[in-house]
Formats: sequence, structure tokens, C-alpha cells
Amino acid sequence: MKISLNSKPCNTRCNDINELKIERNFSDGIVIYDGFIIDENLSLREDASIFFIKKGEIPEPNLLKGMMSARNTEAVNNKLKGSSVAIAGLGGLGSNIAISLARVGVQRLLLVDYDVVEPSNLNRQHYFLSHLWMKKTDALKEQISFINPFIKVECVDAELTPSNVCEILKDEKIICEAFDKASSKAMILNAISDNFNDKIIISASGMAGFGSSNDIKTTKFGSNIYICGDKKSGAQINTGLMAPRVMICAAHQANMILRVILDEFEV
Amino acid sequence: MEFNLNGKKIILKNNMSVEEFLKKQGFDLEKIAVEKDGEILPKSRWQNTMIGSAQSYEVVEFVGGG
Repeated sequence: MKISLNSKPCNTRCNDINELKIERNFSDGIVIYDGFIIDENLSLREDASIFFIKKGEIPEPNLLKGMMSARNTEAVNNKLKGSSVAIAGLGGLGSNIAISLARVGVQRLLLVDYDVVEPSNLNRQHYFLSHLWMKKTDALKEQISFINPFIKVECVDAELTPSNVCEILKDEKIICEAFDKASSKAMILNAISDNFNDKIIISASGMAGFGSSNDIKTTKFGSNIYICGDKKSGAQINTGLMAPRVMICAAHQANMILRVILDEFEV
Repeated sequence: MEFNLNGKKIILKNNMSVEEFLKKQGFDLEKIAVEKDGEILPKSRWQNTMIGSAQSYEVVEFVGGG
């Protein structure tokens, strides 16, 4: 039978997981069968993807890469090959989206921000005290290298404006709008749709405060724009912006981006 | 003429540009995006597009936070 074991094609006469464990001298560790951790014995099937993860062992890079994405399932991993996402704005939304996409294994991320990390960011943005006053692009690139070193990260240290946004994003197919200001959000949608018709934009509006989680939704706007959020809760005096709702909204955006990568275009 | 704006029926006597209509409705033009009959109508085309040229408009008013 032909299966994949730890990312390598392999022919085996084993009929089930227990026989394979004996054949491969594997005892203490984690077994992942087609994206799912199992602890029982299961029959092998043709083309199954199996990972044997030995406890306490740091695998060589290629094997590590396979193991790190083992829970994604193979179909998802195949579509992630060649995937690329631009993230405009690396605040509460953008930093959390970038980490999420790096974990799942989006191959290339273009990170765009001009700002530095300051203390009031840390109630919701994915940075550490050690990043204070660092450029957000550098701080996020560093974190991604710690989480998933197989991601290609490119950075643009610039403020996106109507005059440079199209040039900077001209080669990007999937664009994530993760700005803070309402006018910047409207600007990028208008500028990109005025100049291109083949780009997909995943935007956000309305995630301030501590209103119900269930008010945050993903909706479609036009044929290739998605807007995540409750569309009404703006940050303002006496309305805070805090990790839980911002991260819910960021997760909506990240999941919609993943869906687009996987050719699922409905919300 | 008659069209829908964010799901509500609007009846106008005089045709006008999308931009003029949006201003009259009190929208902050710096913070909105407009969908016309299911497709985005970029800001650069608001001035030269007549409001009566479509059945349905959706206007999203962005709020700050991120």
C-alpha cells in the first residue's frame, strides 16, 4: 500500500497503525492520521497521510515543516503552496491576522505599516514588551520567524496613501485592510477598486467595545470585497478597543482569507 | 425616480450625481464605500455617475478601530 509517512511517500505491507508503529520502531509519541490526532488503532488506507511525531525530538527542517502543518490536512496544505497575502496595517487586526496566517502556513506575507509599537498597543496587538518602540514590521517579522520560519515575510515600512497604495499593492492578489482609521479603510477600498478589478480585499469595520461577539460578521460587498465586523462599533472617547473583540474580528478576516485561498468565495 | 438605498426605498424628483446625492444624505464622503447594483462604484466615479442609473445602492460607513 502506498501512503505518506512524515511527508515522505512510502510503500508498506502494514494493514494498520499498530503494525506501522512496529515496522517503524515508533512507540512514544503522537500519531496524526489525515489531519487528525488518533490514539486508537486504525486501518491504513491507500494515500493516507500519517505523521509519527516522536516526543522530545526536534526534527530536521523539512520534517518539521510537514509536522507543523500536519493538522491542516493535505488538501489545505496543497492549496497553501504559492499562497500570498498582503496585510495593510499591523495594529490589533493586522498583527493578529499575520500570526494566524503564519501559523496556518500562508507561504508569503507582505506586511505594510509605518508605525512603531507603543505601550497602549499591548492591550490588543500581538507584540511583546520587548518590542516597545520597534517598527511593527520588524517586530512582527521577528515573531513570525519564531512561530513558523518557513514563511517568507516581506516588509514595507510606509504609510499607504492614495498616491502610493496602488504601486505598493499592484502585484498582490489578496489584500487585507487592517487599518485603524475609517478614512484609511475607505481610501484603500476606493483606490484599489478604481485601478484594479482582479484583487480581493478583506476589510474590517466595527469591533470596538465589549458588545456581543455574535454581532461580528463577515459580509460581502461588491463582487470581491469582504467586510468583517459589526459595522457600527467605532473606537471613540469612552469606547475602548480591546483584545477579545478585535481578535474575533481579526479571526473573521483571517478565516475569510484562508477560504479565498481555498477557492471558497462565499462568506 | 426610484431606487433602494441600504434596503430602503428612495424616491427622487430630480436626477443628480451619486456624489451630490451622498452629500445631501449627509454621508461623510471620506469614510464610505458605495456598491451600485452589486458592484463597487469607486469614489472617482461618483461625480460622473447619475444616481438614477441603478436600482440599488449599498453604502458602507466605516468606523474606526483596528
